[in-house]
Amino acid sequence: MRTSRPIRHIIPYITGLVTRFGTRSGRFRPGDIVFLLILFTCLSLCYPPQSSCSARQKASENELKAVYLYNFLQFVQWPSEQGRWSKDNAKIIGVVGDSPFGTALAELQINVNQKVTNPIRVIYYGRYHEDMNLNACHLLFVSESEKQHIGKIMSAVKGSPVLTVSDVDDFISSGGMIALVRENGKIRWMINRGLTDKAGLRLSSQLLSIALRVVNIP
Amino acid sequence: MTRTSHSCKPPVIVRILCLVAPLLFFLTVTASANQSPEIIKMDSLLNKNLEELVEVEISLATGSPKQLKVAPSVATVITAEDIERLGVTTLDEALETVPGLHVIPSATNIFTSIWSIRGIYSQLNPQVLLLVNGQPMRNNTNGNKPYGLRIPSSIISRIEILRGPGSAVHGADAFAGTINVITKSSSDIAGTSGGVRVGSFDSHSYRAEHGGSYGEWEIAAGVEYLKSGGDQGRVIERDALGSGSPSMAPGPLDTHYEELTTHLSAARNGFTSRLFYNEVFESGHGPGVSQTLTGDGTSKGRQFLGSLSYKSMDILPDFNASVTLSGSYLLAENWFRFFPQAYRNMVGVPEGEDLNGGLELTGDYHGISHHQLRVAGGMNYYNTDTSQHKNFGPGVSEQFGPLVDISNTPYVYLTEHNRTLLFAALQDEWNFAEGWELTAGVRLDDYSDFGSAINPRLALVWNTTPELTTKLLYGRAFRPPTFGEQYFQNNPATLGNRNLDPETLDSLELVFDYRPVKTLRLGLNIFGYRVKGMIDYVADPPPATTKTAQNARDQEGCGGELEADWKVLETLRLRGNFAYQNSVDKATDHAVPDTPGMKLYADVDWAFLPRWSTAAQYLWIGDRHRAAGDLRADIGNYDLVNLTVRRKDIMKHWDISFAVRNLFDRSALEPSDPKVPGDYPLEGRSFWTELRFTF
Repeated sequence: MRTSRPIRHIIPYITGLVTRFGTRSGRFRPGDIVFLLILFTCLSLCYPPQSSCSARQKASENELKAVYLYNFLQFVQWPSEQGRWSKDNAKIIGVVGDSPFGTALAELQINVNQKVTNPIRVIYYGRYHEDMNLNACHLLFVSESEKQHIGKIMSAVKGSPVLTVSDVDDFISSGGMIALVRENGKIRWMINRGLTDKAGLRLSSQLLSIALRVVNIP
Repeated sequence: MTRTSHSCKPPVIVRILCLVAPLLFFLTVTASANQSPEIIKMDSLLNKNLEELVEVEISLATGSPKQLKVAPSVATVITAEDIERLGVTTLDEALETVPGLHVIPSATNIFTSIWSIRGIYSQLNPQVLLLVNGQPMRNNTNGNKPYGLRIPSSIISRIEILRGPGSAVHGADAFAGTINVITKSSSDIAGTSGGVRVGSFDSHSYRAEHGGSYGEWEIAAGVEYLKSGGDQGRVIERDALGSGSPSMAPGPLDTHYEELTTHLSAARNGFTSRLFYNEVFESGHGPGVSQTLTGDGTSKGRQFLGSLSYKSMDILPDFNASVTLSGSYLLAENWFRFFPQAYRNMVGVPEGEDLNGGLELTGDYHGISHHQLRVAGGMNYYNTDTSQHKNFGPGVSEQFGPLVDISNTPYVYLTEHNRTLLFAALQDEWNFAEGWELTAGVRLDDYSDFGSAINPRLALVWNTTPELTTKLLYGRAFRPPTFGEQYFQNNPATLGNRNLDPETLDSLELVFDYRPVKTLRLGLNIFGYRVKGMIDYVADPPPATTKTAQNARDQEGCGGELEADWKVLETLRLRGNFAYQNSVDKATDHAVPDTPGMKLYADVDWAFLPRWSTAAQYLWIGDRHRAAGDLRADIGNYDLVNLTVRRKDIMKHWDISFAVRNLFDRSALEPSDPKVPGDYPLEGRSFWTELRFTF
């Protein structure tokens, strides 16, 4: 009573498939898609991904942004304030709000701290509230979750040598120092030099010259 | 009596997509394989200087979606990780974990699952919009999801469930809720894996998937085959013919099934193409189409969805745009045997074949400070053609004799119909004060056959304190009459009505999201809604025995949902939710029947040893009433416990899982049609084990 299932009769099925598609009067069966998809899957299995030496390189967004934070620490000079920082010369990244980095910052720490003498540490502040000591870090990353509080956060660190970085929209116009922006599938940054100067942070010329835009809003 | 095979016409768009797309992908893959982009790891990134870093592209799949707590809706997301830790095998099992959503086997719709959300449902359940990768999958005739559809969990990257109206975004049918199933992308799979699962009731499943980068292409493909004989212990004592000959009762519900689901996606430089195919080879009719056990009623179906989209970032300053071209083909064939053959050889074989196409343009503009504007517009075309064989009723000379083809005669149940939809939508997210965001949206849908509908929504999100987010949401939704509701004819039971208006729903919700510490989330949603002009089939005046579709009744409801998610330790996580709803049919002032007034769900996931983990689920369903006029006692409560144990790396690349479902073998009942007085039993205790490899 029931129609035969193509999957059980593979040879006559393939013959039928070719015949059906080869003639004008041929009837199409959507079950054919299954066959073609399986065929395609098998073909792609026989053709493993290659890791070639092409110039195009891709990275996960989280990891790439985390590496940028590390680079900013290298290309910015903080005013020397004795006693302000820890004895081991660690650089401290603070994240306010829900961290978008997943495990990337932890990985960064492991990678960096194995190799260099100046370690990095990460403070996860969590959701913003007024009692937070946001000045305890060198670089403060403001998460998307704190978009509503950017004004308050910027006031809290105003005048302190804290480099503020974020990937939220309009970060520079909201009073931030470095905005990470996506351009053509890559990550670039914009700098408000007016604020970094005011905070006593010295930015390397390289950081400034490769920046997508440098503005000077006091 | 013999039956001919499907006589579907060759839909051109599907032919082209199916034949050309996979081959094209493969050819492109082969041609460009030597330009494969390298996925670089953290340590190599650290060795790059700034000039080199700015040349590194980001893999787009890792972009983070809007955070749930600030999303302007009440949403639940179930991820592939949740699915794996709970041992969920199908979409239905995953949905049962959602607050306020209960999966009920439909009494009159041949045991296809009903997704009842906050007490809003009907037997055909067109009130929930099922999307696969954002593309609707529904049957044009009845507006419901395909008969017997079981989406296997292995192909799912995540499920986004929106409770409440979504018509301002998704248009028609996003009424009680919207369920969007996102299939896995290449970064979700990243390699090759496969698995075999065997279990009770002669059930088994085989699956394979592969994902990776080929040249500039990100490719993902997966397939899963599911088969089960059904639990023979789900015995009903009586059916519509009573008990004992000629009835086949007492006897088991027919819940066997055999299905295959496959998906393929390819993405490159802003282009994404997705294909999804599901074939229901067989799906048993439970108690039978006329509530009599027959042994051989079954549904078949084929659903093919394909889409091609292109997203362009910053085509103008601060403006992103995307365009999506989509097509779908759905075939449903039901083999209805109305009674046991020995009693009366009455068979009907209706077939419905849907062919849909659509084009959508979306633009996002973020050039105005504190505003995020979104504008969308597009068109859709829907066509349904039918054919029918039967051996009874008008147009058949020998009643209960051989099957007669009545396709293309005036006696068919539904003739060919089509409709065109034009739509436009506008939305603004306005950050009007620090800590406050207002989302306002409206969508206009204009249908060629019954007119237009305007659906607004407003969402006010307030970051009350750093720990607490408060939302106030208003939304309106609509559901247009389906082809069946408008045009059914010659049916022994149901007839269409060309003068129907769409059903409408207005809803108001107050939502609190509280995260006192990073490891704990508490949520409370309070809602109220009003449905106007709910479409139902109403009995015609005697002596007629038919029912005709009418805007029959209004419905009102209110309720609340409490949710908790607590990561007690790095290795221990507790989640739970409790939902209450009180919905009233305004025509009878009686509680909406069959759907639970209260539902409790909890699960615990514990990694008790390195590489070992276990998850337990608890479900309690209560407070279910009968329909007005049904004199049976209210439906009994039930609770179920499921247990899953997983061991990773039994050997290199190999994982194994064991699961027990309904651990205590509780007798759990779902509401039956009154013709089957004793309700429908759910599955008894069952086991499965799964072996999986990943390379």
